[in-house]
Amino acid sequence: MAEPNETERDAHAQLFAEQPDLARFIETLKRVKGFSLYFAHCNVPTYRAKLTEAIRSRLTRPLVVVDTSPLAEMDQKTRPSVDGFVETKLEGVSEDAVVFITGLENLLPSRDEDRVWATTQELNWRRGFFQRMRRPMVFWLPEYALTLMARNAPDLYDWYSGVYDLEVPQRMRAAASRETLETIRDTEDQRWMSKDERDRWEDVLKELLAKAQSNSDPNNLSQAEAVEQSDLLDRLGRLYLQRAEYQQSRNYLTQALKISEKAFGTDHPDVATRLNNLAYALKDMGELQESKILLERAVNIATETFGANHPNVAAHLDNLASVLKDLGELQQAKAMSERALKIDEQSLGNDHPLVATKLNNLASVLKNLGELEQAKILLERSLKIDEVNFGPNHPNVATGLNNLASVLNDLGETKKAINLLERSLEIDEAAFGQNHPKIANRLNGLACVLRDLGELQQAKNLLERSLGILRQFLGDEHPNTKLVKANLDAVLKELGETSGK
Amino acid sequence: MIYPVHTVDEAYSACHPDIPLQPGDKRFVDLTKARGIRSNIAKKIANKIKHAEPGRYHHQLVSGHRGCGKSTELFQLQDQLRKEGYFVVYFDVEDVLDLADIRYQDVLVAITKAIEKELSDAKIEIDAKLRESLDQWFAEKILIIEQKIEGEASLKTEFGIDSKLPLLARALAMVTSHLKASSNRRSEIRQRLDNELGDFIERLNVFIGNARNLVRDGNFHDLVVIVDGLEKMHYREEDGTSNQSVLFIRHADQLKSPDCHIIYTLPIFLAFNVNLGHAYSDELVILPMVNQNNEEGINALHQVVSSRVAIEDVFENPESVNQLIAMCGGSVRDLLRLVRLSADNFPDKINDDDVEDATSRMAKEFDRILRDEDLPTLARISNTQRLSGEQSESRLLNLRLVHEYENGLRWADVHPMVRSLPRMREFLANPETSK
Repeated sequence: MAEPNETERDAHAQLFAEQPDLARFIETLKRVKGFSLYFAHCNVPTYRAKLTEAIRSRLTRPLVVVDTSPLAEMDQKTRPSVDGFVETKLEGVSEDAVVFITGLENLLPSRDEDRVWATTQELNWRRGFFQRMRRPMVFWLPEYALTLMARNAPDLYDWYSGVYDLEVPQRMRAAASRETLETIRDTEDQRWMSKDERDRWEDVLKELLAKAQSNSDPNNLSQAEAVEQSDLLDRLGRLYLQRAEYQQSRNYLTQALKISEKAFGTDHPDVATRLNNLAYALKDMGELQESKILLERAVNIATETFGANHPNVAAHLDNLASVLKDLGELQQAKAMSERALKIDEQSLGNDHPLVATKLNNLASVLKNLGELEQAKILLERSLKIDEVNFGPNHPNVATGLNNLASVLNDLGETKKAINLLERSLEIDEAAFGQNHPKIANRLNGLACVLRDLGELQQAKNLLERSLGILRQFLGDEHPNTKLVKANLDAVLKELGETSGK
Repeated sequence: MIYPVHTVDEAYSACHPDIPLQPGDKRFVDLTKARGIRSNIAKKIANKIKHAEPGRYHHQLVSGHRGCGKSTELFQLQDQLRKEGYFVVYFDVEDVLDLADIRYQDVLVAITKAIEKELSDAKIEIDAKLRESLDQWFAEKILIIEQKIEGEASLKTEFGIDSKLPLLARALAMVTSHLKASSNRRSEIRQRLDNELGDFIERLNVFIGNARNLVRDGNFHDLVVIVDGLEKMHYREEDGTSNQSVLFIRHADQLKSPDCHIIYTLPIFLAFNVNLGHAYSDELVILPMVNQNNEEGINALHQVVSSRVAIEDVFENPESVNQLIAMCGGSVRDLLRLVRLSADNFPDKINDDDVEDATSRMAKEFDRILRDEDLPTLARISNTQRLSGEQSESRLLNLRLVHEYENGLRWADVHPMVRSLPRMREFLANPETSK
């Protein structure tokens, strides 16, 4: 086995420092003879690859990694069995090799419960195969998938000789999830399509939907068809919501919900997502009671499915809190929001970006309650998390600065607030360019503070820029456009001018 | 390896939680008394078979928790039966069938196949004409392809692949391979077997009759079939009935139809089904966990460890073995796993910290399985020390959150690992508020 070079050695030294289980895991793999079963849990593939290399460099016996992800791409009914697949990969491999099996989580989480069942049962029943391979077998799984295996494939699981916790350390966790968040942002960017782009996108979605509908019997959709159609309907619904065409949005989202309920039953996590999205639209429409009821259902479903302390539950609770806030049920909103925060802190760690979001939303409830000092503390914590995770020039940080500024403004710390708002505007301009709805929001915020300071001319300039952007992106009828228009009118009035349009 | 071993390194190998001991292994400890049962299970079952009335076949169901030593006991039983002059056909369904979905037809075909294989391995030749007619029957009645026009041709190509196998063996290989693969062909073949059931059982029993004659000619007393692995059947409901009870109770007559002594392993929860007694007249054998609360049990479990490792050489403090015993809940597997986990750092000698660490790592895994909604049922079992037969207990037994014991009467308790979890402790201390 090649000696690791200096930099590798350093990297490994760091891995050993942050992973107390790693040394004993390697010792065990060095000494174990023949078959034994181990589980290692780690949910970040890049980190797992680093660990694998560190382990490989310390072992004097061969190490083979069998990635089962290709199986997830195949049809569940006709794909090779997991053990059959592993067997072909082990042809010609030394008898002395340690075998790492990765990628099983791709076969496990799925809307298709039959698939989850089939996979765990297959592993459970065919565990004898792994024993017959006469080599140490290590299943690498994310924590949740390991729990799924423990509960659904107890015969295989009960063979374990060791379970090793090799999760990404807390402080790196947020950095590791950056990738994920950036992709979330990418899809979110849809929101900021120009009107033309959005019209074209609408055509695409509608055509896909029409095709899907014409190829299926609406009274008898297969699960796959239901997934496809409810997904398209959901996208259309959200598209209309961005346009503030509420009635249309509501129709699409309601249809999406109904299809999902019919295909998966009323208590499926997919249904919870649809409920959440419809509730979101209803909240924007001001139908708060209805929105509240739907979100309560979503919370219940997620609790049943994932347990009371799962981040999914926290996400729904957080949305519910924001509806309660709008309803003026502030104490209840505060309690919900606190629960959501606690769940994420406990399950994701204190420095996770989702914790930053929860802090932010709790602060907004506190702000409404007039607990400004407390709100300020939470926002500062939230901002710090985002700065550490994303770097000081990330749009998430811009949002945090904006929110903190609004509380500071309420506290009378106007100068400070303006500084933060200017920084926030700078960050977003660098990220999105000058012409973007986000910029319009920043400009509006800054203008409001300047107006309070009596800087009316400056406020007017900013509001005009803001209005121009919003007209282009959202049209005259959008509430945001109307709001900025109203702000501008007020400033113009104070300046003794009259509004042009 | 010479047991007991003297180093931590060897101890890791000597204490394997998953590999059942073969007969004659020096590490074997007879746990009969420690389990609170009167007679050795292998001897008891062998005895019942020996004393079965002529023309009557013994149908033995065996159940027990996973990891309780069931497979080791079944190996002992095999050994016992062989010593007493029986021709034993043992197979694990896991190796033959797709057990994610298993029906009685599959079991019967698997039995036929296992007998055929064991006979041919022992160079015992089945009557050629019988062999040919069975082969033909499977080919024509069961394996026949839907499109009758090309039926003959397709059958021949299908057989072509396995042409090295003798008649019947190849037909059975074909049938089991179809039953193993989840396909339309599987349900088709099951349907055919069902349609032809009377005929199938008739032929199966003629075949078994021939086999029994032949083994007697070979100086064996008789033929015994052991079907292992069915206890792993995962619980699933179909039309309000569990797949387990469909197989074992609704189709009990079919499972009992082979004319020979036969032993099946049974899922533990089904052992409490009241209808089981009506379906099987021979007394069910449940292998309880070793009782780790009384001296007999503690001594036996101590012996399980000391037969593998020289405790004085491997443990810094020999007393710490007792701590492992107290936490294993009488499960041999859990005890061996705890030794392994304690050895996981490969210290020169296992010290108290290693033991503490092993215990908390295993507790963490029990915490993974435990759900909050299990707590009330667990608390009830902890208080009453018995099972009520409710559905909610099936999960707990299956996942070994609860163990079953015996001391003349059957009783049950929460696994000590589960009891040690803060969630459980809080609930037991204060069931009202901790909800």
